[in-house]
Order: sequence, then C-alpha cells, then structure tokens
Amino acid sequence: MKERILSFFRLTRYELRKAFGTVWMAVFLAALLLANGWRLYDSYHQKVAKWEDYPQVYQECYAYLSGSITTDKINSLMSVYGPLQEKFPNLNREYDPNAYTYSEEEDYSFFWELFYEPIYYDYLYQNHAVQITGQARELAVLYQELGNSYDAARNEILAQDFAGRWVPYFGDTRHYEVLLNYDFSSMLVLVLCLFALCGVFVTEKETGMYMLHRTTRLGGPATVGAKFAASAFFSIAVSVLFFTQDFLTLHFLGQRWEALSDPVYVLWQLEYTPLRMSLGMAFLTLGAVKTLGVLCCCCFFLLVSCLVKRVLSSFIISMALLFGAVAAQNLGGVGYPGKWCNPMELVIARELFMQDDFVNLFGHPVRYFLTMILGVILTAAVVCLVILYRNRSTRAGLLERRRRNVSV
Amino acid sequence: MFLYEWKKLLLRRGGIWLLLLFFVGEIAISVLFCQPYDRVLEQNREVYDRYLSSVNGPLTQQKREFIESEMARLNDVHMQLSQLNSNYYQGKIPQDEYQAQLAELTQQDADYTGFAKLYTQYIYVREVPERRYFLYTGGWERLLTDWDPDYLLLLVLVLLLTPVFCEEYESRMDQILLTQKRSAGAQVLWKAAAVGSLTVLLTATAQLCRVITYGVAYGLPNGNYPLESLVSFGASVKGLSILQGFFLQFALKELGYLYCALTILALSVLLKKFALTLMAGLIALPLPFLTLRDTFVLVPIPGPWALTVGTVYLSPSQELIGFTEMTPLQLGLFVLAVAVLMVLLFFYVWWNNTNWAIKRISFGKGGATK
Repeated sequence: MKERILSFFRLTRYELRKAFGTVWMAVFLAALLLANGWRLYDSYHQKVAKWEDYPQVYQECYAYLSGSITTDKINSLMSVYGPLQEKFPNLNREYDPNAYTYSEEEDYSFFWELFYEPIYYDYLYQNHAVQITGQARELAVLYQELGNSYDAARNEILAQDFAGRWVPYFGDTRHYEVLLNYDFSSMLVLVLCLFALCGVFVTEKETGMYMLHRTTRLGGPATVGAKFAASAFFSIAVSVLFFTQDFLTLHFLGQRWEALSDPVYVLWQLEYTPLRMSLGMAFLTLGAVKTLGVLCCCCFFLLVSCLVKRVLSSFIISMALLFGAVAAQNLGGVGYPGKWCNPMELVIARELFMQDDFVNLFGHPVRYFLTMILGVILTAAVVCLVILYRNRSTRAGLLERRRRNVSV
Repeated sequence: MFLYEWKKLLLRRGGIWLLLLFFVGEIAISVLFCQPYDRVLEQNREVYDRYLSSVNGPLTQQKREFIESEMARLNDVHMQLSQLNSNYYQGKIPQDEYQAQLAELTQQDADYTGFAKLYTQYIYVREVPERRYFLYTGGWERLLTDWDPDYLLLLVLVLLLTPVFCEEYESRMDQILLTQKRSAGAQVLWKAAAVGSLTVLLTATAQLCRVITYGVAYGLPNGNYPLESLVSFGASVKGLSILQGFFLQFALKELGYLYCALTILALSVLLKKFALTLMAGLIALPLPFLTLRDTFVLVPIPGPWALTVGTVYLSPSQELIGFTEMTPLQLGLFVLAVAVLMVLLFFYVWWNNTNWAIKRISFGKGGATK
C-alpha cells in the first residue's frame, strides 16, 4: 500500500513537471501576474483618484473620526458638514482659502463621500438590522399560524441572521470595496488554467502515447488519478497565488487595515449578507469559493481534453465553454437553465453572498449559496466520472491482467 | 498555391465554421449593442430633423437669426407652461382654466426638447463656424467614437491564424516542405498573402457591419462636412472631412489588424506549438487593452494595439489625460515606423521558413540557362 501511495506521488510529481513545469508557463504566469498587478493599481486609483489631491486633510480627519463611532465624533463631523448640507445646492464652486479642500462644493463632496455617508451607514446599520429581525420574527409567527412551515422556518433563520448585528467602528473600506468587485484576476486564472489543462489528456492522444500507457502497470487509473491530482494542485496553486496578490496589493495600496476586523456587512454591497464573520474571514471565504469555482471549471477543461483529438480543438472548445459560462452568469440574471451547474456562479463569489436567500428543498429552507456550491460540486463530480468512464478500458484491462496474474 | 492556402485555412482546418460564427457574432453585436449616441435626441428626432432641415450646412447670419428667434419663442412658451403649473399648484387659477391653457401650451411646447438639442449644437457650431457645420451627428458619432478594439475579430484572428505554421511544425511537415523547390522559398509568401487577404477581408466585413447598422438605425448623412462638426472631434487639427476621417481610421484599422496577423504568425514561428501560440496571442493582443483600459495610453507605441481602434488617431488632444493629437506629419512618420516593424516581423517569418540552399541552387540554375 505504502509503495502504491509513493508511486502515485511520484507519478503526480512527474505529471506536474511534464504539464506545468515549463519555461513558457513561468513566462505566461509572470506576464499575467504583472497585468493583474497593473490592473489592481489602476482599479484602486480610479476609486480614490478624486481625493488624492488632499491626503493631508484626509489623514487628519480620518485620524480623528476612525475607530469607535461616538457622539462627539458625529457632532464634530456635523459641525463641519451640517452647514454645507444646509447650503446645498447653492454651494460656492470658486476657490475658497478657508475651505478644507478647494471650494465649498468640493468640501461638501469630500465629507459626504468619505465620512458622512459611510459613518451614517455604520451608525444606522444596527437600527436597520433590528427592524429586519423584528419583521422576520413577526412574519415567522404569522406564517406559523397560517400553516406555512417553509416560510415560517425561512423567516426564523432570517431573524437569527440579523439579530445582534451592529457596526461599532468606522474604518476606511474603499480598497476592500475594490477587492470585493474585482474579477479580473479570476479571468486570468481561468485563462491560464485553460492553457495549462487543454493538453493534459489530448497531447498523449496526438502522439499516440496513450496506447503505450495502457500497457504499463501505472498507465491506467493511477495515471488518470495523477493527472487529476496534478491539475487540481496547479489550479489551486495558481488561484491562491492570484487571489493572494489581489488581497496583498490592495491591502498595501490602501495602507489602512482597521476595517479588516470589522463585521463583513461594513461593506454596503454585503448589507444583507448571510455571513456573520469579520471582513478578513469573509475575504478568505470568498477566495475559497472562487478557488472551488476555478477547480470545477478545470474539470470541464479536462473533460474537453479527454474527448477531443487535437490540442487546438481542446483550446477552442474549452474557451467557447468558458465564454458561454461567463455570458450565462452575466446575462442570465436570477435564473436560467443550467444555473446550478455553472461553475462561474462560484467564481463570481460575491453575488452568492449579497442576499440572504433560501431555496425550498423538500420543504426546508436551505441557504442559496450552499445549494449553488453543492450543485456545482455535483456537476464537477459527474464530469470527473465521465472522464474516468472515458478511460474505462484501462481499468478493465488492469483488472483483467490482475485476474490472470499477469505482471507487466 | 495562394488558393490552396485559402483552402487549407478555411476548409481543411474548419476555419469556415469559425468565420460563420464570426459573421453571426458581428451582426449580433452590431444589432444587440446598437445604443444611440444621444437618447434624448433620438426620442425627439422628428422635431430635431424638421428644424435641422432648415439650418443644415454652414452657419449663416440668416440661420443664426432663425435659431435665436425660434429659441426665444419656445423659451417663452416653456416659461409660460412652468408659470401655469406653478399658478395652478398655488391655487391661483381654477382647474378648468388650467386645463384649457395647459392643452394649448403643451402642444406649443412639444418642440422644446428637440429644438433644445439643435440649440446646443448651435452653441457648439458658432464657436468655430468655418469648420463646424450643422448636420445630424448621432450616426457618425456612434461610428467614430468606439474606443475599444473589435475583441471578436482579435480572437478569431488568434484562433484562425495559429495553425498556419503551427500545424506544419507539429506534424513536422515543414521539414518536407522545405526540401521541395517550389515550397522552399515561395510557400511563406503565399501563406502570408492568404493570411493578409483574409485579415483585410475580415476587418472590412466587421467595419461594414457597423456602417450598415448605424446607417440604417440612425443615418450617416453629409459625409463631406468637416470632421470638427462632430463634438468628439471638435478640436481636431487634421482638417479632414467626416468621410476622409472615416476612411483614414478604416485604413489604420486595416493596418492594425494586419500587424496583429503578422504578430500571430511571428509568434507561431517562434513558439511552434498550438497551445503556446494561442496563449501568447491572447496575452500579446487583447490583454493589454483589458489591463490598461485607457486606449489613449497605447497611441504613441508603434505596436498593433491602438491601430486596431483607428479612431484614437483622429481624436483631438485631451489635457485631462495627457493625450496629444498627432499632426499629419507625425502620423505619417508613425505609420512608416509601424511599416518598418511589420517588414521586420515578416522578414523573421520568411527567414525561418525558407530553405536558402535550395533557393540559391534554383537561382544558380536559372542564371546558367540564360
């Protein structure tokens, strides 16, 4: 047994080196990492560019207003912002030497966008959560009386989700908003995986090597398993590399990481999220779900590689599938045929966690994101079985050899 | 051999299906994503066209007076309507009187939004009346202000042109071909000719799809008017007419996509494998656009990227993003630099696919016969 495990590891290492350990792979990986870094830098600067001219003012205001949200801080903010709000929209656009930024109008936008709106959201979130919890509990009781057990259970879970939610601290989250909405790296990971995996099975078909494989002791299921393991390792490693680059780049560009320990709903896009964890943990979760999505996409690439006879066909068909999946995810909206099988739904992970939705599964409310993850995993499992089925003759041949006690 | 290369490209490698998909995709993109340049103007197109027919062409004193007087009249009606509404909400007039006046004023005010669009154009035209004429600009603006490349065409080129050399490298057919007298020197020329003609044809088709769509949906009138008549090219220094501008950007696009095709051929000669060339093609051609997002950054680089957009070379200077328009001389020099680079790329492809020994022998024999 130990020998078999060791030989499997050796085989996996060999497959890794053969399929992915090339100089060109390193060149493409470096090029894509560079492109991703530039795009991250560009996305961040697009988000903060408007106020980059006033770093000193922002720094001073942020130093005072960040941290615990207190009445003193809100009063201080309102003493500056309040008069501007009252004067709006008749604010002076000309240069004002007494203004914090350039003019009264610029001051208004500055305080509204960077401090008033986010603090207002944080401060009122608790009330909003209490309101949702109360309404959900009332609805749960109502549905219970009407005998609708599914909606009663759904509202009960909703009430539990929103109970006790509050945002006690204010922190700069602009760079984390960029990170949440950033999908470019996922696309790059998928393109790189497409390039790497399109030839995993088909290269041996092109050279006729697969027939030789079948005659060797480890050429059957062990080789297929090693190919699977090597492909999975590669796609996970690439995903982790790119998603870590996303996080670290924006983390260091933003230079303020207080918000990382805030609850996940500190980002307004995740106001109704079912997640109850810190922002840092939420990014880890989103990264894991994205990686799972990439892994499931890779199963489809391997399936295509297993079915066709040429690398070119494998690349084109896999790319067409990828574009189809992206288009379905983007244009499909709430529901479309095959939604539960589309791994792109996991790759664009934030959309799974934006609403506290449920699916009616045999009368029980099951969280929407869980059903999506389960659906895609099941689809990937079916795809893997099809790949194994395509290589069934090797398995049958091996069993036959064992039955006859033929040692090859 | 030229026709045989075409046959190999389209029939033997199944390129015809890819082309069919490309044509369907181009038509679908043109039709589905055909958004008006100015939605409000399109909603009031009838009124706008009625007024435009009276002022079409260069601005004259007579037209100026007509527009000013009509604006004064419509402004007056618009103010009366606002006043009427205000009076009614404040309870100064009874409902029956309000209804009677409202119907009359609303009818008179119906032209206000459409005419306001023409008046905005008048404000623009009167700044430089010699080079800015009145015309319907929606179709031309839509056609000439597409700052993105045709990603579908780029993708089709990468997929279609990769096998041109790679297929023979992968099957090692190139070594046999290079031992043949006919193919040792000339095959690369025929391949390049087939690829070039296909690229030119595809670029023209993609452009034609756009011209037909915008021509039918919005109209492309008065192409002989100065390019500066379009708001997006108001400060252009090239002194072209709209049609000249269109043909210039079309020529630059053709050059750009030809450059892309040559780049793909050079990559396939360098890398020799399908997957490597496909990936390198995707990284080299569409990725810079997706990474940088701002096409104007790519304008001074003598690469294929900005040329595939074409219209960026017509765009006037934009101080905000630090973009300076090329003068005709600068553009000419730029195109010359691009041509030199393309010749170098072609030379690289040619050098690697020519058996010089056989070429020399055949040349020597020819010379001896003479």
